[in-house]
Amino acid sequence: MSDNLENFIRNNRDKFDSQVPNNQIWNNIQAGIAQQAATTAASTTAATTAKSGLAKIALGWKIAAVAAFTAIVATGIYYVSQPADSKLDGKTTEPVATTTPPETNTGGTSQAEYLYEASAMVAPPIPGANVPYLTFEIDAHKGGSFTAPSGSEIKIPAGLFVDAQGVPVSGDVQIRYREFHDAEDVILSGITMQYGENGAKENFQTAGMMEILGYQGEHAVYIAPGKSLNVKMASFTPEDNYNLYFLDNKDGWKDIGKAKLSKNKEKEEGLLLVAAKPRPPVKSTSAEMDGEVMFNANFDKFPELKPFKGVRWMAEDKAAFKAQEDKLISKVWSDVKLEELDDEGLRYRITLSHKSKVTMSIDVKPILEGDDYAKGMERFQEKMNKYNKILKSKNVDADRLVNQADVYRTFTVSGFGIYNCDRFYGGSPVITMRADYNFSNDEYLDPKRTVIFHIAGDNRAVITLMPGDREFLKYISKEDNYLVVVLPGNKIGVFGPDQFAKLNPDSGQNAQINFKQSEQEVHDAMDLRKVLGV
Amino acid sequence: MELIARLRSGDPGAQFEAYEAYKVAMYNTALRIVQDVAEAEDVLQESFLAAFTKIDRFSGESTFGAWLKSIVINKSINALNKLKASLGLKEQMAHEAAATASAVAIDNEDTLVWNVNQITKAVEQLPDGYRVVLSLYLFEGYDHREIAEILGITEGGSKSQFNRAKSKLKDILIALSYV
Repeated sequence: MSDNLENFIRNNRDKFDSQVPNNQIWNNIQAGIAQQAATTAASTTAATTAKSGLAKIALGWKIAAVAAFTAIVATGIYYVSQPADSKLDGKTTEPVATTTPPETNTGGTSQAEYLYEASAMVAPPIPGANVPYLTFEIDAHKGGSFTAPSGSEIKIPAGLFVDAQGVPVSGDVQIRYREFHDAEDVILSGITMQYGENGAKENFQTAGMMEILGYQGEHAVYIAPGKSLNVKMASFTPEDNYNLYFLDNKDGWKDIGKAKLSKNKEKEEGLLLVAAKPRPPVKSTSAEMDGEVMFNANFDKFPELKPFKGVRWMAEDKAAFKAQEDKLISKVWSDVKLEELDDEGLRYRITLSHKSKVTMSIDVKPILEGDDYAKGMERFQEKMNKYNKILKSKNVDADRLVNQADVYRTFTVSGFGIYNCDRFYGGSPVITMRADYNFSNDEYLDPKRTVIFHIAGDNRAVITLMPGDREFLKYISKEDNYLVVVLPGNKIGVFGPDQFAKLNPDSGQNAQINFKQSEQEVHDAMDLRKVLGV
Repeated sequence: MELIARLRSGDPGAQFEAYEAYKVAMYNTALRIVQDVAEAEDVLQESFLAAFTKIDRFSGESTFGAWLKSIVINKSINALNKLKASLGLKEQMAHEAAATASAVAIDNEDTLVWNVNQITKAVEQLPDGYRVVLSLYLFEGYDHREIAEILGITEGGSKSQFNRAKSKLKDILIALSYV
């Protein structure tokens, strides 16, 4: 194309703007402004519990725009739209997690949720990869509760919700809920971990973060001013020195106090119960085997033993029996007790005692022959099946309990949004090196724009290194450190603990950060953990 | 009171005034990038909404129109990326570059006659990556350094992409017998 054509376009620039937008758009914009005013009010309520007038603010704008409001909210919901997988009606039901449809969540710049849309506070870096929401349905009139797979419990009181105009909501409300427990969750969510309230500049180390939102169909709902719901959030970090923060979509994290820490007693007690596994059944023992216990008693003196007359016994622990066999048969015992150890008549304990107070016991099983042996084996198989069933059930319980968190952090929520239990990340000694970041062989990366994530703090701190923050690399060498950069095609580049270990701060040379590209694509937090090996 | 001051105070009248002044230009900017009427309308709506509700972020170093246009373009590119979920814009650019690496230089351009409708239709047929760079450079008036920043590519990448876009546009115009 020549200057001729370029000149033609420039000289006729206005003529190329010939299309006119739909008249409805202005109405939608008006409605959106009213909606955001209401959302800000709800967020402020959450952070400060101030009695702001949600209805008052919303009604300050044209209510006539409400008809168009659907279009705006629908756009916001589109990227997280998912079926209501469980219905509570006030009772706990098994939640079902549904992943955000990848074909509709590829923007990578905003969460497209109504509270944080277009907010710099939430910017998922990998298209189509995010932490999925759990969806629960609650009867707005009755309220209810639900339990997440992590063990978190959310209790919603009756009459909690209002719409954008402050009018109480009736009918079913969909609650979308998700948690973030480690750096991988945090990175994919795109939620900022930087705290800057009152001039501070800190990076968070999280002990658990959650997001909770409410919808009725395509419309956002809000928590009524003065009301709140209760969150008992699972946490995998037992320490108590973490504060609670709320993410304001405009001003960032707000310190709102502290969650109450409590142990997960169900896990603690449940694991003890599960540990008490049933004893396995004992096979019937056939005759002519080594370890037979010759047991003869005066059955007149011990009439209760008469049913066992003629029964031959086999020691369960043959070695132990052999070691004390001489002692056993050399004595005349003055008392004997035969104690059944199971319900099937297959395991017994013989306890012998002497006047001299010497006591000896030996666990035995009867040697069954002929029909008795066949029946014994039959009973054994039945017992074995029952045993395996119990064992399987206990293993399932164990898996469920092990996956639960060790502690809970309980707090009230008076506005939907993102809540985070955090402390400021830090430690010593801190190593500081000048660094060169090398994005070799990747023409798509512009080093001046690419974000690098520094994972540290027991995989619970994410420090975002913007281009201006990178001249010096600071890290605590005794920790596992990772630098992660997002590459095209859902790949990532990693500079991991092994590479950190090779850095020599005393060399006087710049640290050379050569990112290694992952073979595996990252589509969820599990993928990211696999790539990082955490 | 001047328009910006009234916008900062949240004056609905000022918002309507700004919308009327910029809606056509911004809509056409979005439409050239996303090539989808519904998506362009969403971009327009979201951009004005963002501008009005985040007016405190407008520093005043540029004009309101330039600031608004930057919002429109960013949202348009994000929207285009969403529409092209299987292949991001930058990856698509690489494919387009490979496909037209042997594009032939254009001769005798002075003999060509242009008109707005023909060029508009030809631009619509450009691959996404070409169309975006060409639109930003020729229609929106950004230079290659600015385009590089917007798209997250290098300045050289923007220039070469623009040159390839020019060749491709010419090919399309020839194919459509407009020349």
